[in-house]
Amino acid sequence: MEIKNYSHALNKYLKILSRMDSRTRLIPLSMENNLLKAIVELDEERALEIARKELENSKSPFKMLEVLRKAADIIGEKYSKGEFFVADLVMAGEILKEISEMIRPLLQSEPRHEYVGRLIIGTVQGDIHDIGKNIVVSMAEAAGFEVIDLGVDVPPEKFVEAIKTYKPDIVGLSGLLTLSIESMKRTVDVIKNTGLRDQVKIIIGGGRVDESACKYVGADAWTTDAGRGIKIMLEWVKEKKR
Amino acid sequence: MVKVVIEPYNITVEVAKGVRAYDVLRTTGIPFRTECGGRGLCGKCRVVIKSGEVSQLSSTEKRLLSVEEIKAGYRLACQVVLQGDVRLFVPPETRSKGIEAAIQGLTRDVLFSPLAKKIYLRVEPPSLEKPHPDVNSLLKALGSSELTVEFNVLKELSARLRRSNWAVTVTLWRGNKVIGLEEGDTSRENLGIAVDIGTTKIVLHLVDLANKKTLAMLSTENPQIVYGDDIISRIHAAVLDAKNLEDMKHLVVRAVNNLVRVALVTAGIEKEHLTSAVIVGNTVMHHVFLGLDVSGLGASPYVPVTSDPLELPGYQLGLESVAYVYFPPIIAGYVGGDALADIIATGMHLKNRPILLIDIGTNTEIILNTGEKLLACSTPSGPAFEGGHIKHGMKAVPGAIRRVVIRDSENVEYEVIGGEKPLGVAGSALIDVVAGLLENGLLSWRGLFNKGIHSSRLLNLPNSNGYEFVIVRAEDSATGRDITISEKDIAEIRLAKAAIYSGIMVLLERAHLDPKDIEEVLIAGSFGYNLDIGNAVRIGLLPNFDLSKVRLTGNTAIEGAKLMLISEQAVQEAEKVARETEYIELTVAQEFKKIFPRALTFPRESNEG
Repeated sequence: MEIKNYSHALNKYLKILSRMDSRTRLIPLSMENNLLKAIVELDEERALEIARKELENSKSPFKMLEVLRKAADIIGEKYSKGEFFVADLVMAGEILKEISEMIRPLLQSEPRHEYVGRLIIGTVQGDIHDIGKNIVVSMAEAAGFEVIDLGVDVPPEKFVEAIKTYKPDIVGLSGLLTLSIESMKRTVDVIKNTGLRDQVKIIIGGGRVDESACKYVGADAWTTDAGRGIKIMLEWVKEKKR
Repeated sequence: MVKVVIEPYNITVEVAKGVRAYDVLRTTGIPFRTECGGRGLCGKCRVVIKSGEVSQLSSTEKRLLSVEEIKAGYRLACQVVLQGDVRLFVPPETRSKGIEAAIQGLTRDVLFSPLAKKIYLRVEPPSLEKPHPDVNSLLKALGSSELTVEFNVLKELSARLRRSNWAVTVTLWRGNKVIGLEEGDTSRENLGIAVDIGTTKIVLHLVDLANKKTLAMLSTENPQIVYGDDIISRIHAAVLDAKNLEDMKHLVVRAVNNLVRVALVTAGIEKEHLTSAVIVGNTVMHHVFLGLDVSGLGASPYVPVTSDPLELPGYQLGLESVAYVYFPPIIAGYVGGDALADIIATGMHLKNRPILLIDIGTNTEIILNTGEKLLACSTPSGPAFEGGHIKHGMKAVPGAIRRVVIRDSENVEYEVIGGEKPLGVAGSALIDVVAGLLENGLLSWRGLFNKGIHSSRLLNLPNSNGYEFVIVRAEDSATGRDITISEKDIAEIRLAKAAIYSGIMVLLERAHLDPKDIEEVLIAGSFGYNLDIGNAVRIGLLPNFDLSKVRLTGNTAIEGAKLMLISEQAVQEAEKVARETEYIELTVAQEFKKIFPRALTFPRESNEG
């Protein structure tokens, strides 16, 4: 009986210790590492809790933006290495989106904030798959892009209109179906015909795109991997600034 | 090309020279026994070569067949290669009913009133006083002038009336159309078929419409599989080239024709004419069978050519032995006549309390009776539960592991369909494996192996995709290799189960219902009767239903098709249900976007489920 009580007390003590440990060691010392760890482990609840606390305390979104950038980078890397799968990217995309949405109002009220570039993105006409596109939106925002998301089943004319209104650096055409490649081509053709092709870089993305699809469509680049897509876009805006 | 005659079915096919008899049987849609999938391991696919030029006896055949058998002309279909015109015989021991588990299911009683009825008549011959056209005399004998008469009946009418001495049997379609005429009294001979065309398999029931008895149940692989294993690939092929659509149509029609012959031989019936058929399938299978353009189904907003019920004479479809065919209506783009048949078989539309029906397949259809109305959606669960995209996955056929219990990190028990050494893992067993790994702490809620646990079954081999858990060791498997599950396989399962869970939750949210409010949960489709419901809840495929209210119902699509074949009332109900069911498009449902990413993990604790 006594032994049982003793072990019970010991267990309780150990539990408190471990909880104290995680509190004292992680949250106050390095919000960045803690948040990064939670995002990369795809622990949505913990990631959002840390982000919320941080925003309450510091009111400055920049530290967190940097974490999102790093997280997106690591996640993309892990996917390329085969350690993460599509299911993980969907979850990661959702967490990045939630945190981006939390910090967006703060970013907009920051006068000194500068985006690295502006991206217009949409799933092309005839296709309504948006999981891949949403992952790119989250990762691009995390990488510092200003993203204008036109949604799904977007007709070519809507892309043209958006190019005129927002003057983006990059246009992203997304689509899961093989049939969507035709739709991407139509979109690029309409952009060409309205004389806007020289003003933007165009990247296509989705499960079935490849080098030959890219040539056929008349895009500048293609990707089946969100992380790699972000790298290409970052290169483009860097070149442009030179 | 060489000509192959397959006995006892008397089916003739032309195939390329150098093809295995195994592949001929498969593409012809003839069900036959095999436990190793044509790898020369099980020795079950025995055929007799009656005549013709074939390859020499292989060493595998010498090992698996006895001297007497070899003398009698026995060969293994997977070994024997056709080099000229061949006549081959499928012996009784090789004949199979196909995939046993999912070729029948829950059904109910309906008013017996078949779509095609046979009526024996004496017709009054014309005279100089009453020089009526023959068709008028026929209709007068039938007691109605409102009936229409099919043109091919008119063509034979006069000769048959006279030859039979004005005593004929008429086949009446749905009480309004004369579709057949035979001499003398054949009113006892009324055969029909119910057919479920699935993306992966075709199921057929042969029914005696004089007494509604099922005479044969068969299934075979859908030969359109050469155009891809999912609906999207099939649509793509059809849109790319009209010839592909035509070819896919021919493949499936031929498979049904061959299944009919096999069914008749199986039932010991010599007659070759059927009065009626009811054919159900998902919308794409329906369109392809009819040769309808599928381009509207390939892109948003996903509309069919027509959602109305269709009635056509068999010869117009290439089903020469069937007089008339009924295709039930389509509920919406991706909720087709098969889902409607599910509803009819279970009778869920007749009750006024919350009932949920889930038909699991490559696309999973979900129907909710909220107690007041019916809601339907279709969710893209993918082929994982039918063995697709899973390294050691396979369909629930002989040789597949159907159930698994993981006792601890070292001890695994399993059950194989057919009882021999296992070849791979069926969808139901994949769910057991994941649940067992979670319960034993071998797998985290994130879907990653717990690398801290030491187990001789947890391997990280150099040339593989990370860690794998060994379900069956090489020495116990039929392939001589370990049968394993990897993190990549588990990620596919996460996508599939999240799609189904999210579809269910969207319908429940729309109806403001909690999983515990559902008074009956019916699970139909590819798991057949193999699914462990507790494990399905444990991995988060199903929400936390009251387990005592969940039932496995097998293949209800074929049962619903059969009810429509034998009952005008069931057809009326189906057409009403199709009009009244509210369709919810998940791809634009905001709830789906919220629920799906969060359903990609596993429930963290067993008591949460």
